[in-house]
Amino acid sequence: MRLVFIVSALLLVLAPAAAADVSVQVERNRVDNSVGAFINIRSTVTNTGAESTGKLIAHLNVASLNDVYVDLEDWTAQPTQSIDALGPGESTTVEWDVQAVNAGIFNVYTVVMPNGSGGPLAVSPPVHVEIAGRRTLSAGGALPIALIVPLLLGAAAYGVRRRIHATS
Amino acid sequence: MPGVTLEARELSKWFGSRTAVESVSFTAHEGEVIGLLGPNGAGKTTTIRMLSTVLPPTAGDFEVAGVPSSRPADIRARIGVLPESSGYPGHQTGLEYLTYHARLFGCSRDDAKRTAVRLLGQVGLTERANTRIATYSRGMRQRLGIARALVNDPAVVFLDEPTLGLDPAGQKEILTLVRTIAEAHGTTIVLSTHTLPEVEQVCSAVLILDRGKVISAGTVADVTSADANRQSGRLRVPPGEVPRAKEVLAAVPGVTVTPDDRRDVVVLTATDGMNKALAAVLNAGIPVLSFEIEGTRLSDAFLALTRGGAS
Amino acid sequence: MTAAAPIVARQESRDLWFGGRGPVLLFAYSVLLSVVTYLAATNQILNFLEQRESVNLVVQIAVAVGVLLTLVVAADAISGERERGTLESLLLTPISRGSIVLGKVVAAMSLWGAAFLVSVPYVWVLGRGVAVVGKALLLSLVIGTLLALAMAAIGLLISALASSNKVSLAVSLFLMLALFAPTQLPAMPTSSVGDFLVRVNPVTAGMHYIQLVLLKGHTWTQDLTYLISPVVAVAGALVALAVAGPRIVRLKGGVGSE
Repeated sequence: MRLVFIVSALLLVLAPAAAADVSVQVERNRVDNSVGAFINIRSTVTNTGAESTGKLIAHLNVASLNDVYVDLEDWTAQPTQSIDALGPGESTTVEWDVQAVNAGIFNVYTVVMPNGSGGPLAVSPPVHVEIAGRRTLSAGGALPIALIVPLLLGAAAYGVRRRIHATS
Repeated sequence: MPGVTLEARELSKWFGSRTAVESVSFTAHEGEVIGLLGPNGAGKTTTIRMLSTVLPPTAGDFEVAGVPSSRPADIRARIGVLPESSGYPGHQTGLEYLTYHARLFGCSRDDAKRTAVRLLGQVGLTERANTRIATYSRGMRQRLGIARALVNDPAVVFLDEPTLGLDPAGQKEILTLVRTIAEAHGTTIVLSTHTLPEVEQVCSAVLILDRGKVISAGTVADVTSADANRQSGRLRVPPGEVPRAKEVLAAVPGVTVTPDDRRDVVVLTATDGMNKALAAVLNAGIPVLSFEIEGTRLSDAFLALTRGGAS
Repeated sequence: MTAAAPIVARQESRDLWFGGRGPVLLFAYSVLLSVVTYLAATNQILNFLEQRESVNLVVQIAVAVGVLLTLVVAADAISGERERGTLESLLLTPISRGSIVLGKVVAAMSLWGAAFLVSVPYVWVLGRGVAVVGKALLLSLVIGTLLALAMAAIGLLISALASSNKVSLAVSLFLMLALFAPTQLPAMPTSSVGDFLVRVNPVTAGMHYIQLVLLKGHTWTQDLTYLISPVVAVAGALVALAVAGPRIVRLKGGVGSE
């Protein structure tokens, strides 16, 4: 998977996006969240050329902007998705649910490449993602609720039982 | 002649290839108490379930208070039923239970409560109105069930084995209640039971079923006379008087005393009627505790008609 | 036709709640939610999974167990009354079978309503601070109500058709397990066959929808197609109950019996 990432990065450098007859757009350009949160990335792939594209491959990348280690497999189990052939002017939506496993600042972007041929690549604008350190839950807050609710309901159930016996 | 409240015409019910009830026809009038008799499996409960619209008949039809069987909901509004082995929600009080059922028959909340209170009084459960049914004895539950059968002031009430499992005092209470309901409200009551002396006490007519068919119908006298042996009788006297009674009876022409070792009963045969024999005993100053002509009891007729009462 | 339904519903609900069964079930339900909530809030490993996942876990368990309780109550509603001998007296009243069925559905649904209310403080305590409580409760209410209604109707159908109460409860629990088991297979929606199976099963579809909106941050309308099978299940079960109810709510259970 890491190999695909490197290859796609290299291809990006070698093949300028302007040469592609496919365009990729992202739904939003900024996300702020905390560690552990899921982020939904939706990209719209459009065939801007005059001919059908053939089958396409869409790939999601996460690039760290502040030297935080990124292992793409931790962020999403399925970074690569197939897209059926698009006719001229047709578009489709591809989406990923990625989990932010590290705090830091990242750019997340989508690359679309032809399947099995050396055609031009298309790349989306980056989504700027800032992930804050994780929150921790307060067990102290949960404990009273975890005790009080069953106690109240237990008392109510006992009360009903007593009422039944009292009228016997 | 009181009006007809219940009329069954050729009513039949088959469960698959098994015939449960076959061509049952009868008519009942206002204020009449009809005993529905028969051995186990004779079709009594199935007949009641058809007439109360819980089971659809396979053939035949019926009318209740002028309402044809094609309008089951309207019939249910005009009848009351105490089903055999009826269950009761143990956590409800008697008052809650009757109020709920009165509401289901269309009473407003206030009317339903008033009806429930009145009926609890009628069946002698006023003091237990606010206690859970789970604590009621079997007899009390049966009385509550009868009260429930009356919540809609029905034209016809079906009672399926109302005295089942009750002690003699409980049986008597229920039968008194049945008679009161029929007499006070002119309600027709169809009483299914195994306890034949009860039927003799309260029923104006009987219908004997066997293997799903009506084998005898009419008044108790009609049914018993068909099988009566009026030449034989049983005379019960105080134990010390048995030898003297035998002596007196032996002297009456046409009377034969059957040799018997019983201490208080003399069994006799009279070819010329029983009146002379009975007069002789009375004239001799022997106290007569009871005198019964053999074959005139409903149980005798029932056993004879149903070949031992077992199907 | 169903004018008496409110009277039946009221009494059935009273029987459920004042008869002691409802409060005991709800107490057991709250104990389960307490344990899950406390573990979600304190366990370090669970804690690592982020606050939204804890909320999602509690919502999913609250909906699943709440729906299960509703199904259990519905599965007992007719076959149980048959065995206790109380159904006949109900059938002997002039009210329609439709009223009886509707009243029993409402009573069973009252258990789901109460279960939802009980889950509110647990969701609140886990979700406060990340602005997810309202969304989680609304999801729980909408999806839970859809699933509970479908299961209540299916439970009543099973109860009316079953030859005994034991059979009714066993079949209902098996159905529930069969429908819920796939929710434990996390990778199912990743293949097209898996996704189809998730969408076809109303329980997995509903649960997946909750997860997508609550956990994955999808919008409410983004995955509405996952709600097709829960809505179809509710409509189908209610129509089946309305059509078949009058014929199958009868004195004896068992298919083909009188």
